[in-house]
Amino acid sequence: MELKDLPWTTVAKMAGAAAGGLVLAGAVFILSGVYNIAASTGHLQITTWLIEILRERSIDVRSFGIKVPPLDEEGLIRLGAAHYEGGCVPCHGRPGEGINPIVGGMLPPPPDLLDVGERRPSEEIFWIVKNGLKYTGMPAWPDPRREDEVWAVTAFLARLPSASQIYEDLAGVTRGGRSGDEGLANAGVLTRCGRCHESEGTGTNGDRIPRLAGLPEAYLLRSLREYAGRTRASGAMEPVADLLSERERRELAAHYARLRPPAVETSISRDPEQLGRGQAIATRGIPREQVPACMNCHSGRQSPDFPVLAGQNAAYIVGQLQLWHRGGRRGTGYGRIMAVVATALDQQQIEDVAAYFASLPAGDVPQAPVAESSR
Amino acid sequence: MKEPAKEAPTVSAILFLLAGPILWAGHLLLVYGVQSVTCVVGSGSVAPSALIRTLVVLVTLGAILLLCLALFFPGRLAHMLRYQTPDRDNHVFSVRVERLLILLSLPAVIWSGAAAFLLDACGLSR
Amino acid sequence: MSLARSVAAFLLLLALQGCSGVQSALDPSGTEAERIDTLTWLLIVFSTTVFLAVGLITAAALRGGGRWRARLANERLVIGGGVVFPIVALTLLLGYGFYLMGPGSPAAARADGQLRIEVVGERWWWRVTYVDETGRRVESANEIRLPVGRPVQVELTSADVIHSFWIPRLAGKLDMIPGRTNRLTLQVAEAGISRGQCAEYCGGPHAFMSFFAIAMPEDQFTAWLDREAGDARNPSGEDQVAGQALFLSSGCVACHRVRGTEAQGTIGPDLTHVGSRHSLAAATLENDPDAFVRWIRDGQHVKPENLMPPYEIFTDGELRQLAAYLDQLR
Repeated sequence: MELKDLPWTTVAKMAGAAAGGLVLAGAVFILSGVYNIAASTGHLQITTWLIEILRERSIDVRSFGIKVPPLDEEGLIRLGAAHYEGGCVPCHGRPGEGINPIVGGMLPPPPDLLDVGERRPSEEIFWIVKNGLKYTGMPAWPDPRREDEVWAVTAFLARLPSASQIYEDLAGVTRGGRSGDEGLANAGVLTRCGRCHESEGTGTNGDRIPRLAGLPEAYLLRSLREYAGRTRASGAMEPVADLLSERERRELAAHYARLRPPAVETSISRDPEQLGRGQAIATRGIPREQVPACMNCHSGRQSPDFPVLAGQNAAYIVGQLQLWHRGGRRGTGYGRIMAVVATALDQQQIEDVAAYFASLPAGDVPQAPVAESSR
Repeated sequence: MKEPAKEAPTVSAILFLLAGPILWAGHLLLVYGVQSVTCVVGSGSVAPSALIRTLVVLVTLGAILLLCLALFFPGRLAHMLRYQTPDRDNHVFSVRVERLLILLSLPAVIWSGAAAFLLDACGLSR
Repeated sequence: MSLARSVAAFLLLLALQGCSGVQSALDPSGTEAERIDTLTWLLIVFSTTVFLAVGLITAAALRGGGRWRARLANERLVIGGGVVFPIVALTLLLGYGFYLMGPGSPAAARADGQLRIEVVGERWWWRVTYVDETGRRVESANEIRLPVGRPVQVELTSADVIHSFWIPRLAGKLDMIPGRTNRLTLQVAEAGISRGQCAEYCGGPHAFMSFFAIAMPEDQFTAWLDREAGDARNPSGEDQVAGQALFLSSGCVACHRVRGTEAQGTIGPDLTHVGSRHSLAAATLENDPDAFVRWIRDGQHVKPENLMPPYEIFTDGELRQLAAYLDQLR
């Protein structure tokens, strides 16, 4: 039979009727409430099967091209672990300690991540932490502009289960020191500053965390406000700053400004040539490349809105300068000023100047101007 | 109408008629080039101005020689360039044009060369 | 037709604008510019006459009747007008040109070694240093002051890319080439203001890289140079003192120098006497407190891509104080 002989009008009418019937059936199904959305009864087997296949395929394909940077640096793992303790433990529990049964009633329940490092490759872990998962309670990373922080969490998770032995140390569970005037700094779980930052006599939890002790109060307050307003990007700090009230931010800024910098040994470069190069950049700048001397703003004798860099962790300084290079930290006027300087430095200069500042005693404010950008 | 095959190719016509300006341009190129490069690069053991003067004089004399040859022996030049004009009138006209242009080019080459003695070889006269 | 006529009239007026003004080469006030001007007009008149004559001859050759063509084909006209006239006329012009511009000519000025100005082209401003006969060096920026009647040697170089130094009213252009010093002699005939420009494309804000050249009588110039060599004025008044405190603590000292204070930066222009300059930001802005505010806060809008970071961190009050401080640095 030829095509032109088919009864097309009839076919069209029947197809239309079938489509209409489907729509009607769908409407009845959806509006009648016959589908049980209750989590108590669990998914239908077919729903579970579909969602799981979708999930695994999606993760697999979308994490395919991700290049994994080196993830075995201790400071990186500590940063990830400390964030895990505040941001992930409420649902996933500490590794190996089991899930809180209330949270366990979620559909799907958040998995115990004890062996996630063995179950999944690092790029998949990174992708999940950065983007979250639909149809689950897993949120995306609070700020997609900070992939470096996601790598920190990935570095920690990729280490499980071996890192679970030392979890409490890595995550700073018992850090935070005495109570008393540090009470505010150790209030809620997420806002427990002492887990990452210094306390009386204790240094930071790893060298990726910035030292706050002795920094100008105005700068600390401005930073917290910028985190809360999302003009300064950090998936780790934005939720913390947002949870704090303005009064608490003021008190915390004052607390850390008053705190005496603990004299702790961190990984300071001992290479005299590197320190010499760093000192040259910090005190004389690189006039040929339009780089002013760092000490002209960051020595502590200038505006209290500029951070003092003496004694700051080198890895943290390097991370921030690299963030400027990647186009970050331009959400504020201050960040935009520094962007011009930071982008003029190359990788070697960044490491040199960071090593120099880390080698200075913290809280050291020179009496006389130390810098002159001269030819 | 002339048969196209019998007319001289355009290139030889141009080269013949404009022999004067072409030699003038070549002279200018050499003089300018020698002066610029020598002033920038230096000339080893010889003083730049002496080297430039000598070279300019040589090039100028050479150009004058070539121009005079073209002036007095247009027939040889035309033969060399394969430039033929079957018509007598055409021939007279072509030679006249060629000679007039050479007469113009001769003073130009001479003034150009004389500048080497009137100006500071590498100086900026401002 | 009337549209064409009015367009033509407009264009003529526009063209005539170039005949005067602070940056007009047709309004010379320096000795070299005057020589160039004489030669220019001579050549323009001569060339125009020859052009018109040739045009007429061509028109006659194309359109004229047989008699005209016969006259034009006359051998005497060809040899006389085509060989003799060019040789004679150009020889005379060449000789006059040598006379006017040559090194031995009476019109050339020779620097007398008393004052030297070193101008370094930066992106996108001018670093100017006055060196007097005692060797005293006074650094300034974005403006050149000259004594009237004295030949001054100007040494030109560049700190980064090729710029070009051009003050049309005073002299011709001279390139500023990194790694090389070019020398120019300027002698100004009368007091007044001329405007100069960078004449070699050097990057984005090239069009905003200009400056003023101010010529003053000898005694005024000496007094000015002595004042310029001195340290910055101390601020008095609440706003200006606050402005100085802001200036010294907000990182300005990293790039700018204000002699007599802690600010000793050399990356950017010297600001010791910035308030007394005729313009700001390399002749991009007028010199008044509002211009300072605009520059500090919106510098990237005024002169896009310039190398000063955008300083949006000040409140309006702080900006006013900074402007008051900078404005009193005279």
